[in-house]
Amino acid sequence: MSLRAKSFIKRTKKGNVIKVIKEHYLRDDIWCSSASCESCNHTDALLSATPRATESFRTPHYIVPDTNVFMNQIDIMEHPAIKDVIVLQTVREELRHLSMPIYNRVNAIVADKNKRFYAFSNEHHKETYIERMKDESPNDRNDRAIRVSVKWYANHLANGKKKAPITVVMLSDDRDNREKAKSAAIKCSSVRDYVADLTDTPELVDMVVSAKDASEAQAKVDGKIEYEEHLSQAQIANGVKNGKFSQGTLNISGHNYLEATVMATVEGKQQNVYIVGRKHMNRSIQGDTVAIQVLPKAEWKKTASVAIEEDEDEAMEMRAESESADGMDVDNALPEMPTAKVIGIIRKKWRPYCGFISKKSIHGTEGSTSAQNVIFRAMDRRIPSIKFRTTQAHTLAGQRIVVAIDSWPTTSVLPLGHFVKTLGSSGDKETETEVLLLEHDVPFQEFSKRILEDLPAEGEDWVVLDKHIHNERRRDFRHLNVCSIDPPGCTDIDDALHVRALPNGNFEVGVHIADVTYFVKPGMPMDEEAAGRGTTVYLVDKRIDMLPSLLGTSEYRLFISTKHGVRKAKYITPIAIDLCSLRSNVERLAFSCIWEMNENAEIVNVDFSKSVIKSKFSFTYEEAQNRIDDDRMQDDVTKGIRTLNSFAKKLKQRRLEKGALTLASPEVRFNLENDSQDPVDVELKELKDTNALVEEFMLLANISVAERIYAKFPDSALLRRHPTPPDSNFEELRRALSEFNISLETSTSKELSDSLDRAVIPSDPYFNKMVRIMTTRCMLQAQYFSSGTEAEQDFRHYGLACPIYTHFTSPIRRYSDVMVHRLLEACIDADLTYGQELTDKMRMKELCDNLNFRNRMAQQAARSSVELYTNLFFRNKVVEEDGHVIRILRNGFVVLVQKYGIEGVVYTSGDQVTSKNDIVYDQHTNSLTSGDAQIKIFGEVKVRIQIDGDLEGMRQKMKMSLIQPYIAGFSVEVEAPKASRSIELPDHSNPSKKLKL
Amino acid sequence: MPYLSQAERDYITEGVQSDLRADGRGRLDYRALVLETGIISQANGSARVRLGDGTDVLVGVKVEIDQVEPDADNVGKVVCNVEWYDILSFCFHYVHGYDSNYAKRTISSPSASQQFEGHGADDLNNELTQALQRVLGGPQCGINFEKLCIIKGQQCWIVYIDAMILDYSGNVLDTIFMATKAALFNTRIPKTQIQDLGDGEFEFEVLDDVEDAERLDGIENIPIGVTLNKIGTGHIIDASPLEELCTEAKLTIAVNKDSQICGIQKGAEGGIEPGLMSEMIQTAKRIGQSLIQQLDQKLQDEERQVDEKRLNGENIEKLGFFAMV
Repeated sequence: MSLRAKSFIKRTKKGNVIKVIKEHYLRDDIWCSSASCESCNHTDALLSATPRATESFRTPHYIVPDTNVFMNQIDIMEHPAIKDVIVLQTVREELRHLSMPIYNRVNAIVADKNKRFYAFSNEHHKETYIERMKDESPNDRNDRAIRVSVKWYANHLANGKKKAPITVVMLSDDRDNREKAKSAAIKCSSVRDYVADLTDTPELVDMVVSAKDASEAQAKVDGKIEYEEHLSQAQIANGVKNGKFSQGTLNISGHNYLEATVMATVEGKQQNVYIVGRKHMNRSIQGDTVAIQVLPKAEWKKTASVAIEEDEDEAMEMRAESESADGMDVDNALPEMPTAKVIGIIRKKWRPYCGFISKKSIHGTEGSTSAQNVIFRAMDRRIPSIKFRTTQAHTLAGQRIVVAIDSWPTTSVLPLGHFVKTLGSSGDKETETEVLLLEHDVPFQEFSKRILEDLPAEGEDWVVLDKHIHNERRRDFRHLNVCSIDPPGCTDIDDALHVRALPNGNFEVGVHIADVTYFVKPGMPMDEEAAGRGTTVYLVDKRIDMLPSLLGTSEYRLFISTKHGVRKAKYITPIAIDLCSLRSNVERLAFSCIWEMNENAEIVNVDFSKSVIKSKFSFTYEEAQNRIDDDRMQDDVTKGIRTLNSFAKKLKQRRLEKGALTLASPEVRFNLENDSQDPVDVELKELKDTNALVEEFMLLANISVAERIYAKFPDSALLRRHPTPPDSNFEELRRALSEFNISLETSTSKELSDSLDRAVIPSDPYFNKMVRIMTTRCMLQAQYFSSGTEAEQDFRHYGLACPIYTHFTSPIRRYSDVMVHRLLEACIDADLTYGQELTDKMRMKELCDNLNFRNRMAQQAARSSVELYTNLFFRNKVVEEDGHVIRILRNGFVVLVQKYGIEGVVYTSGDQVTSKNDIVYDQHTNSLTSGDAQIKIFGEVKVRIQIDGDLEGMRQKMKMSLIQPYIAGFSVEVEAPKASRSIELPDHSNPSKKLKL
Repeated sequence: MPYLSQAERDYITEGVQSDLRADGRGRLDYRALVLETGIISQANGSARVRLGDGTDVLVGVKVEIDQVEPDADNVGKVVCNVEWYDILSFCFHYVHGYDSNYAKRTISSPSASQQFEGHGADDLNNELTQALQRVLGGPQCGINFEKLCIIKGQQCWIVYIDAMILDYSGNVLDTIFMATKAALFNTRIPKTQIQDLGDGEFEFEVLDDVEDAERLDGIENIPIGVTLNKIGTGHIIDASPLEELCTEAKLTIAVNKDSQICGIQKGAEGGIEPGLMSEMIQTAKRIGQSLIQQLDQKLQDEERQVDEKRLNGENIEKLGFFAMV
């Protein structure tokens, strides 16, 4: 070994500079890892002895890509066709500095033995290490290091005793580098040329990202400047520091992709700042952290929001923009809203997007494979269309595909991207479900073998043993009348309850939660996976589990390859069922929260303990309700439920008095047809008393646990808070209600709760529910947080009106609860040893951030799934239904149909409206009028609902049109009763038929 | 001066008068010296000078960023510091006979203990620090201080010169000057990129590449010190420890390559008559210029050798403390 030093200059946080010197050792025992090499002493050579040969490089060869190939063409490198690649250390280190996500992806490929990517430590190899030369830039030095390594490999492979000759080919898109390589007799190629030879995988050519400068040069030639240049990072940082600019996350409106808001501090107040129009958004994309500059007041947005629906083509987009930007009819009735423009992007949130190719943008005849530029539209309407080049335009039409953005030069209206992969045909339910999982970043891959190995070796035969009771200080509750109450068909029973009278006249109430942390220990791969997933995701027809199934055999595969596979309508067996789930008549480990309560349901004492229980019954809500109602039932269990029910009512009463909110959201349930899983009926979810029973005790347990863990871990308790929504969130609702002389007090949840109770119109029984639904939308998201990162007064849960709260009761499906279980166990067991994961507040914060993100995504995925099934349900149907107007727009109104829990926009003007009408938007009364007919907020309307494939049939879209009140030339005629009410069932005669939405 | 007998003193004094010193040199002969730069990789510049068989000085230069002084907002600073490594504690131990290990080292520098007895460590450090600071702390040293300012009114570079005396065998101040000049020659300041944020505000970035660094401006004008010791009626340069003990008065003159005088410091108790003083200054100018010429030549030779190796991508190995006379 020999020693070298590497040095660089680093600026410290305080602003000073230090010269950092690192010792660097060179070795002579780093092997080439080629299976055909006999001179190296390696075992388990990774690189195949028979790598691929191509048209241009006829000798079988390994590939050595340079750094930029990984940076720009990572999708290609991930493609299964690319194998036997040498990843140089120089390249990996450069990637680590350039982009952590890419670096991690490369590491993932290297870890995948099937890909045969060998990480060669050329920087530590005595013969491939090079000193940087004088006046040589670091980049040139690294390029040279790569060439030296390629040369070394070529010589090394040529010298050894080989069965068959093997060589190496360097991939580089840098012409200069290739010239230098050629002059040193190194074989090299550009990525485009190389993959062009791989004729069996033609899609690779499409995946080639054109070098950034090339595409920008191209854009410069053919384009005028469309956008302002972004300011430099330093200018932004300084501007933000001195208050000239603000920064925040760009949030594009779901209704109008040309309108966005950024939560930022303007005029000393944290508020939503509008960004209107493509120019002002200045190439920022949904989710980007942007720097904004507030515009002068004269340019502030004064108009009501417009809904823009579909971006048909470029021209129309530009027109839509000019309409919304220039066509402002200035009206001083509306308060001016702070408006800003984006002057720089601090952090890009680019990711690969699911979507489809706009059919209109495809040229040429069917089957043509010449390269052409096409427009890609993302499923997420907030993402701009992306221009990319492909040879498979005709094959990809009608498919769901994934496309990534490469760059967005100032001269290009649209961002430029490249094709990544195809998911399947549009409209296919499996494809669409995969799309929505991908779009919401839900990890849905199968659990790996490593994770499944963490399950108990006994498998299904695992039982509670004496040692669990004697050695683990578990209390034995097996004799108690414990029972569970859950929705029908529930497989993962997290919680069970019991109550019994105590000799002193009080009652003992117990909540027993599945003891998941007995099986999931910190640091296990299973634990890491669950922490990453964060939550189980419930879709209409399936769920994506957080914890692995006990039986990980192929028969029980969670997700079947979606392309052409026949779907098995089999539910997987989660670990919950066999090991955790508190099923009836099976002994199970539990974590119990035991209260002593007096007859007024006031807590006298609380105790927590690990336990063993044996549930006597698993009720559904309905069964439990029937028992309560049936006077003939006088057994202990039924009496227990009655006691619990009366306690729950008292608890609820007290909670409501304190100001807990009763909110509403229209939740629907689909009845699925058994084989095809097609929806045959849709109904609103219904709540029974017993739902509330379980809920009350779960809330109580969560609160008790929260208090306990916060006392022990003041800095790192995982809690859940629901921040008080800012007053401005209620602005629109308040204005709408003022027309009904209803005032909305929002300063405390108690006042809000009271004013919601007062918001009643006798003539409209649905009115109150509607107000509650709309109030729900004014709320902020509840969030997990680490107690050390927030002030104690901010712990409050606004909706539940309690000062402290956490999640304890569903560890099978929520990772937060797993963590809380661990915290609580550390509270009650003084002997327990635990690591930093429970005490480090920053680690806890990172975990919370991920859980919050996963939760939000899970909710959105669930919603998208409902939307998917709603559209499936209305497919081939025309339904007429009563609904309520819940929002008035300048060019339309939003209708909520309570029967199906759906909402949609009825447009009164704009490109979608073909007929002439005289509907006028009145800003003062916030209504749309035409003659006598007036459409006001909360007003009742009758609408026709149908699924209207857009022009391309690629985006399922629910169309609502107005029937009543009748507006001549605008409303649709009521169709003949027979046609309108007939429900056409999906066609099951041909099971292989693809579903078209 | 208790450790030097009258006989020894006479021997040295008369030797000076007859231009023959105890080690065989003439009055104006310099001892051989070993010099190497760039031996502290963590520093921005460094040099080690070993003079004769004993005096050994290591100088490290480190640059840091600081706010400018309000009354001089367009210049940077040079801050010097000299420290005696271990020798003082060694002397202390020797004199009081505490530690036998230290006694062994007295063989190499027998007089050190005598001379420094009674001095506090801080006094010696301060004396040398000030001598260096007086010459290098201001524009007389030739460095372009304005170039050390990064952004006017905001930040500037501070150049810290830290000299460490590793071993002593006379003429330490001249050795420090020489090592400092060599270390500054070796010093590279990281490059900065200034960004205009508009509204008269600026921010700068430091380039992280060690190669992207530049020399101090005005490096060629940095003076060295020539110390003349008056012994009897004559004066000598590059005094040995015993000669220093016999010195009645000494004059350290900082001279740059153009023979300009950049500073004069008088030391020891005795006086110097004006005629001799003027003669000493002339001597110092002449010797200083020739020393600088030789020093610059060596430094450039060394740098060329390093550059040649680097051009070929060869590893550069320093001799470091293995270098001997």
